[in-house]
Amino acid sequence: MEKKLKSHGAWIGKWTFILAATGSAVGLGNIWGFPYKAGTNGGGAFVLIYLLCIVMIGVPIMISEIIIGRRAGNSPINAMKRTALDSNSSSLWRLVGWSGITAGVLILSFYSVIAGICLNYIFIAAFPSEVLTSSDQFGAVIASPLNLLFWHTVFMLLTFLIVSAGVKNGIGRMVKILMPMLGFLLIFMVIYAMFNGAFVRTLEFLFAPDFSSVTAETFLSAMGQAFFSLSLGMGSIMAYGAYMPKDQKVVPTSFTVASLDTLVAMLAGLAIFPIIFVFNLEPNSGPGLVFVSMLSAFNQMQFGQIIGTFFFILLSIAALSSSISLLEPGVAYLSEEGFLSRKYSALAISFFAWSLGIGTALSFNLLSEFNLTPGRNFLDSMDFIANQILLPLGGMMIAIFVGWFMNKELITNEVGYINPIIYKLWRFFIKYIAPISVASIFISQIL
Amino acid sequence: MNITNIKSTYGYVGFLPFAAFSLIPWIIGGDISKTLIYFQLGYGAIILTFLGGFAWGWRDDQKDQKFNLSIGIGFSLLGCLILLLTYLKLILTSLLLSIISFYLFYIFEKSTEDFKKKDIDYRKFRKILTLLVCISFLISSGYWINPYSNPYL
Repeated sequence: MEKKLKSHGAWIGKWTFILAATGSAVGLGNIWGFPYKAGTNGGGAFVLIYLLCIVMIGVPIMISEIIIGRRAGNSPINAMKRTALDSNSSSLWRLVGWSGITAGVLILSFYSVIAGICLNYIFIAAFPSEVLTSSDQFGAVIASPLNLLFWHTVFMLLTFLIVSAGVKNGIGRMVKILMPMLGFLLIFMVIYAMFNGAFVRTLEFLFAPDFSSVTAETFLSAMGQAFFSLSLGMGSIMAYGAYMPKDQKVVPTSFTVASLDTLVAMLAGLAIFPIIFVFNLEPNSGPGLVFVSMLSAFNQMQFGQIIGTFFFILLSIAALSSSISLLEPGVAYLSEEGFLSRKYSALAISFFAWSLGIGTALSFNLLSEFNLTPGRNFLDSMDFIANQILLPLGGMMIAIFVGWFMNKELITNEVGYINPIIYKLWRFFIKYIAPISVASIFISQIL
Repeated sequence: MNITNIKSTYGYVGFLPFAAFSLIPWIIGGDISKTLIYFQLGYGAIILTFLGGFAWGWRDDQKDQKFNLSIGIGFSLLGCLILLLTYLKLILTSLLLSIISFYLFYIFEKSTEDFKKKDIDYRKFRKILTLLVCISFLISSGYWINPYSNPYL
């Protein structure tokens, strides 16, 4: 007899899913990764390739995850299992759900440490040091295990509180506050940069197409960005899809989420680089850009304390809206199986991720020489296992499952009426293009 | 095509010059960008005068007729003022005045009896169009005062 699984509720209104999924997709990677990749890989040429990859890889996999999640109305593990059984396939497909949840928890463990640094930087930008340079400041922040652990704990606590409050009252309510705030802060930063920064140079850097610098690497980079920036393969979209109202159209919703994610990434570039170029700082990517270059710019500019504080609040919001989506799939699984209540499920997984995060926090200082896997410290190992192995594998398996194994009738019932040409294109992308592309991302990362 | 669709199509087509005049300066720069911003202001002033004109005619069956007529004339005069300020090379003032005027016209139109009777699509269209036009003037203002793109540098 089939086990009765606990229900989690549903989003209120169609925009809640869009905001939640966009919040999940928009994270630190969009803000510190996309603009730099675009600028150094051919500008407009990269953006074009990226958009193509979004349409051919990102959106098809997102549609697949939503279909599976919404149809079953369960956590990714049970959703994969139910859909596989209903399609006369092996229940072992649930391992894809397990892989997603594992990746989510591993990512949350180190994401929380980095996001904790963002929280810390809100205060650093508001009350800048007059003796330390931005580079020394960053060094001082990461050299202190206690400081990192404190902010890691604060961030994890925030994530836990939101997720434990439930789908409607916790995540649903918070994304309706966080995402408009993120949008407002981002637009404020762009307007500020448009009036005061090297905006023309930024437009050239980001959008002037330079097809001579397009290589095979550019395609891989664009494919990777399109896949990773949409939070695919980790079960978040599948879990959020489970709470999506039945009358909401899957395909247009997926395109809206992908468009908003891309828009935020582009706006982030338009907000950050005009300031970087004014002060002739290095337009590198990752923590070096936001914690060193941006802080240095804020310290030198007029009203830098205010703008800098806004900027780090923006980053923290982006991180928080993503972290709740990393925690949700695991919490949904534990609570629907009846192992623990939602609150205790959230507490258990948060505590586990927090404990793993200690290793990440220490890998910046006390354990910097310790290698968990060959040649990689704790943080790099977590990143390698989750981002470079589990996510691409999960994404690829979801594409293969929906493209080759899932019952077509179940798909069409869930998708509803769409233009037959769009449906055929989607089938083609999910059957052939998406698995091959994600496999090439996977292989290129491993090699 | 119903009348709302026709109005919104013409409305968005009418917005295209605003978009072009505000975006092209960022792309091509140089002295021509100055001219494009003058064109945007001129085009905006003509539209505003036209809006004031039709506000004059559309409210025969409204309450507070005299007050509404004065407002209609007021917007036409604002359009003329923007043209004058542009001629006097007070560009930033003209740009800011344009943003304020287009927004105020929307508020004015929203308060009329006619507007309340319009269908939801029309009301949405008017809101979006006003927002887009104001953004286009904001983008031009940014270009005008940005120290790294100022056409005089």
